[in-house]
Amino acid sequence: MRRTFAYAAVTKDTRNADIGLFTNPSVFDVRGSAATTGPLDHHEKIIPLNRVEGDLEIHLELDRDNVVTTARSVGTMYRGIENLMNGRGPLDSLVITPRICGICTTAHLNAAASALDMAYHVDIPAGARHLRNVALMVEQMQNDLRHLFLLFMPDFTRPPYADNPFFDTAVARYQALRGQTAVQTIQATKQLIEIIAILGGQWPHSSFMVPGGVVSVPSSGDIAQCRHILARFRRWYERQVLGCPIERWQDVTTWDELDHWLTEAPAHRDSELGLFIRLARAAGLDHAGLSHDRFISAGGPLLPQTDGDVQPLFPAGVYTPAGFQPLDAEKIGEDVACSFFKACPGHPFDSRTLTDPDSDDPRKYSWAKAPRYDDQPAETGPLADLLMAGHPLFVSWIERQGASVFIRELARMVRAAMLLPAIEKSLAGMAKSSAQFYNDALKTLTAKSYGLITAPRGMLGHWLVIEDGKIANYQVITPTAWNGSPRDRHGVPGPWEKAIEGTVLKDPDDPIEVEQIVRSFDPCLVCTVHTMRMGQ
Amino acid sequence: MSWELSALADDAEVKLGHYNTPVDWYGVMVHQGCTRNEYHEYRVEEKRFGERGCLFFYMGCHGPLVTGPCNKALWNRRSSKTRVGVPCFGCTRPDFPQQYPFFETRNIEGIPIELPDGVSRAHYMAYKGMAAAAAPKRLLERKTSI
Repeated sequence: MRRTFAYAAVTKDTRNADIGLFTNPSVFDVRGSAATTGPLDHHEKIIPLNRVEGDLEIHLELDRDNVVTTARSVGTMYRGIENLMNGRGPLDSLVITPRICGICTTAHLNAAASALDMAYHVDIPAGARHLRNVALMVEQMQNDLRHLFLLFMPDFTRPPYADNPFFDTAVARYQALRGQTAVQTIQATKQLIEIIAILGGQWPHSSFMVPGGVVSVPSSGDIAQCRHILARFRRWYERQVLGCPIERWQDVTTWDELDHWLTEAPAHRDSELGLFIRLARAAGLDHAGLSHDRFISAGGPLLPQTDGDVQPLFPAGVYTPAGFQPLDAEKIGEDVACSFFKACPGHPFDSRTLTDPDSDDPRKYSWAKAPRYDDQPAETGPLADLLMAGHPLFVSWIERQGASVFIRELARMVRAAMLLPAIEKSLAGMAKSSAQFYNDALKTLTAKSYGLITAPRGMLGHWLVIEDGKIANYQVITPTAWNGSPRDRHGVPGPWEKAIEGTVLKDPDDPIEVEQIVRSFDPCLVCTVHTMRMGQ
Repeated sequence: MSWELSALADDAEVKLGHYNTPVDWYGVMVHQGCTRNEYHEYRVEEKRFGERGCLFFYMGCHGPLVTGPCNKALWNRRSSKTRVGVPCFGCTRPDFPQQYPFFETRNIEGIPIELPDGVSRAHYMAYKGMAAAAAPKRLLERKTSI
């Protein structure tokens, strides 16, 4: 799967050149980078963002033409789960960290279990790997589709889009609790996650993955039920979302082929995918939200092969239009220059979660840290995964246009077309593999280890230091920490900060452009906490 | 939760118990309805993940200690942690997360320190000793499917 050809570098000047389907932007207007716009007659604006998971504010500085000159992503709440882990037994991470998030709970469990696998030097049986993979991929799919049809698409039912030719269709499909697609998405994804309950007891917040494998031993009847649920989900996904069989969609590898696919049949044009492409064209989403074009992915899941080896569905790596590099976990660090934390070493093995709410440093503005790879920001999510896999449709787009709201959401819409066949294979593999789902792990007293996996929203890492049999340090870097990071000590903005800057707001009192750009990263900040003082 | 809200919407009486939780759902032990109850009954206990036994004596299960509808209402209409071999962690208790390790049971001479709600230690030890002696072979050899 890994690409073997070199990439041509692109310069910023060519990125806005329209290709293929996109010729007629209407809602979005971009004025290039903030540096080219004069900071005359500045005014500031704070946008509390709804329809995201958690609490987020975007602070904007606008010039007199309502061009965003500076965007600051403000995580308004503190996340202290890491500190809760210190001094506890290592296995406790399997119980506490999945509760970081009620959407990516299986992903946190998987990251925690992977860190313990590494700490205890234990191999996990093929059956357990299949089971973990199925749960992880099912969670990714439910998130992608809920994000699309319950959080992202409803923007097209709002007043700024009233003149859009697709407005009535969008209302019929995506209106909250009433829209046909919204209701179907709730039903289909609710049933889909029953697979995780069958294999792991419950969703969210189970702890069925442990170092050495999984605790559950699914029967052939359990697996058959999972396959039945998955087959039903696939039928819905093909009929409603793609408008064609997955195999037909997989033939689409160029933008000309996509154009052909779109006009080939009414079912293609009217599917969620077909409608999204046409709607995105009318709205100009293809040049909205351009960012650093530096992508990071933990890749995976590791699919067991018949020869006993494992092969990742998506390679782990860093991608820029200049090329692909395999991921080097040593290059991951966190910067806190603009975050309400005390300075500490950057690598997660050494960094700590030491709050600094009363700092005099005027640079600080967010409760989120700023993850960096090789000291630079990087974007993560389904688009990054598809780029790592060398998906020709997405690679060619990024080379010519750069990442936009359109291409991020398109990746989210079609990722399931790659995941579904892999899940089917894993369930079949599970049915065939021996009854062994767990290997005994030798509990070491001292270890440094990590688990890097692909959560629904992108790369998730848990770093673990065990001393004297207890957790001495625990650090979590979530996908949204990457995408929504504040500036670092060099003043470099995080991916969605960068993506907002240069955007023109048609109506500063209803900055839908900014909201759509941020939502295209599928933000999630529920891992922050509400704190309260007792007895006051 | 949504059932309770719809009961309120119907003007039905909602009885509240300890911690003001609805009795309809929190008036049962988590253990009630667990498919591993037969193992519990005869003290056929799991000591290693995936052995398919009761998780109470060694694996830190709180099922008989705390109330909750996990095995009555079932999660996602399908299952529960204890049914697939994940111990109950007692997340409905105010002291969650507990200050001692998960996945192991604190015990005195092999008998859990915390006994099922309202049970006397002497009676419980006598009952468990006899139950273990009466355990049928099909359970001990895991011939009973769960």
